[in-house]
Order: sequence, then C-alpha cells, then structure tokens
Amino acid sequence: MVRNAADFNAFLLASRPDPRTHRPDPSRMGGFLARHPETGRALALLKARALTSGFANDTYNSLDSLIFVNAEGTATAVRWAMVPEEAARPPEGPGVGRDYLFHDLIGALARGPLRWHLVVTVAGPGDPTGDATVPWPAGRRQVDAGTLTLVRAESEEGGPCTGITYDPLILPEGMGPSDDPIPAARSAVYARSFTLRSGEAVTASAVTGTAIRSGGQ
Amino acid sequence: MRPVERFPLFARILHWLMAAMILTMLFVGIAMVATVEPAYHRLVDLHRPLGICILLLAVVRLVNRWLIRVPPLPDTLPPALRVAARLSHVVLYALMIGLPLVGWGMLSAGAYPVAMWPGFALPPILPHDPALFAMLRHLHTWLALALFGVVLIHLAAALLHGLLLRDGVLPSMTGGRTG
Repeated sequence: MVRNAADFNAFLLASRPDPRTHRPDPSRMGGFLARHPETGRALALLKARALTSGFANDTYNSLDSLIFVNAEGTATAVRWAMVPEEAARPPEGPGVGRDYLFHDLIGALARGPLRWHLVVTVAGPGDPTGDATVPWPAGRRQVDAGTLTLVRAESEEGGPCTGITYDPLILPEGMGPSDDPIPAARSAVYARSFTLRSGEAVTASAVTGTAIRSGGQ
Repeated sequence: MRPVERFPLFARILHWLMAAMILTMLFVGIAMVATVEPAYHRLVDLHRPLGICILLLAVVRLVNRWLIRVPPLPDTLPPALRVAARLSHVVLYALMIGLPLVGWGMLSAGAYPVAMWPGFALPPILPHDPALFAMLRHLHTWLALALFGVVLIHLAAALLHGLLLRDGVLPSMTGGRTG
C-alpha cells in the first residue's frame, strides 16, 4: 500500500477520521494520493481482488520481498504466497455472529485437514524488490516450496501461539531481508507493541477452547 | 610491600576495550529503539552479539580484578568520595554483567531466538512467559539508562582526578606517568 514507514505514517495521518464527521477528510486523503500515486494504484489492486468465503480458501500474498540464498551462496529475490488447496468461492452474504469466519474455519477443520502451498515467486531482471506497492509481472517462475497442513484449531487461551510476536525478520538460515524497508519497520514496531501487549492484564479470548471443542457450533 | 601505582597491562587493555564496546553498545541501543528504518535490524543484529561479548569480558575482568593488586585510592581523598568510588565500581560491574543477562533473559521469555550470527543462537535461559518478557524489557531500558548515568559519573570522576585533583588515579588506568 505504501513504500516505507514515513509514507505509512503520512497515510495514517491522512486517513485519520475527522472528529466531527467520524470519516476521513477527503481533501487530506486526496492530497496524500496526489503525492503518492503508487498508493492509489495499490489500493485499486486491493479493491479489485476477489474476496473469498472464508479463511480456508483464501490466499496470503507476502507483497514484501525476501532474499533467499542457496548452498552455493547465490542470492535470489523472491516474494511468497500461501495458496490454499480449496478452490476459492465468493462469500455467500454476511455470516452469522461476530466471529463467523473463525467458527467456519473450526467447522472445516472438524471435517478434515486444510492445506496451503508455499508458492515462491522468483524475481525477474529489474523487478522492484524495494517497493511493495508494485506487482511483479505475471508469468514469473514459481516454485512450490512446501505444504502447510492444518489438522486442528487451537484457542488463543493457553495455545502455542500466545505470547509470540510474528516478527517478519526472524527468518530461518538462508533467508534474509531485501532492500524492502517495510519488514524492518514492522519488526521494530512489533517489538514495541509486543512489549506493551505482554504487559497488559490477560483478557478473555474471543474464540475459546470450548468453542473449538464443539466444532465451531 | 610497596603499593602498586598502576593497573597491570591486561587490566588496562580490558578496561579500554570494554569502554569502547560499552559506549558503542549504549548508542547502538538508543539508536535502534529510535528508528523504524532498515538500520533497525542491522543494529539489533549487532546489539545481541556485542552484549554477549561484554558479558563474557566482564566475567573475565571480575575474576582478573580479584587476582591482581589494585592501586589504592590516594590518602588525600575524603571518606565520602572514597565510598562513592567503591560504590560506583560495584554498580558498574553489576550492570556490565546484569544488563546483558537481562537482555538474554528477556529474549528468552519473549520466545525470540537469541541469534548471535546466521545459523547460531544461544539457548534460552528463562521459560517462555509474555508477562515476564514485558517486565524484563522495561527493566533492560531502565538499567541501560542507569548505566548511561554511572558511565557519565565515572567519566566525570576520572576528569576530576586527572584535571583538578591531579592525583595518581587517572594515570593508574591510562598508564601515563604518575605524580
């Protein structure tokens, strides 16, 4: 959506709701988009993206690029996506309740495992690695690098995902940051928010262990 | 036995090497928490191994300090400054060892890998506990600010001895001529 942390800060200020109308001020947002046509183009791509019916058939695209280094030391710029095996279906109208996307996912897992493929897209010559707002041309080489299989859901309460920050720069050996400035900004900001969040009193989880055991009903 | 005038060479090397490392570390720490630019992860990647280096050298230095004969403070020094000198050194040693340990413990409690260089990370020294992480993360900042303060006091005291009192304290560490 934006190229770097400074632009993101300007974007947040421009999209801040007006205290009287409770909506973003169109003149401020218009001014930002005039200065940042790349954000306008990225927002148009985001709007054109087809929504799916839930988490189980949705694709995650990294947008940010990483550098993969092979055993011989050759560095390659990549972007990556988690592509579901389930075919994408459009949403069937609004679901029931605030947490229906979670309950649908729990229900799907009760019927069987869900799989996503880690699809790595290799940059072509001249593809921008330092600008997450620009898509790479279609037809770039893609590698199916692995399969993620989810067999069950776990609640936040007492679950293994609690109290961990998903820092985009904590990477396995052979993977490193590119010249994309966004992952470093996220890493810095997440470290701060993780400290603040971890110091707060624990609140009740929206999706409880009991809800998961009952199969999302 | 005549009292020694200077610290032995090994103690002086340790002192000046660690002085450079600790000053670097304090400014790396301040810079990395103040930026969201790509320098952030390069500074953090430097901060962790440098901190562990300081911890190891501080332990070597503490053992060395017990083994060597330390030059006595000048008899002309008032008792209050004598106590202050002793106390500030205890605090310096405690922070040189405590600050890296709190950093290591804090990363352990936050389930962060304690990465030293690509492919090598230290084991955690505390169990994964978010509340403990938050407490230690704040403690790390407070202790670092305390170290900043004690380093400044140490520096001011060295200049006081060297420029105003002109006793043998500063040459005992610089290796220059005393008296």
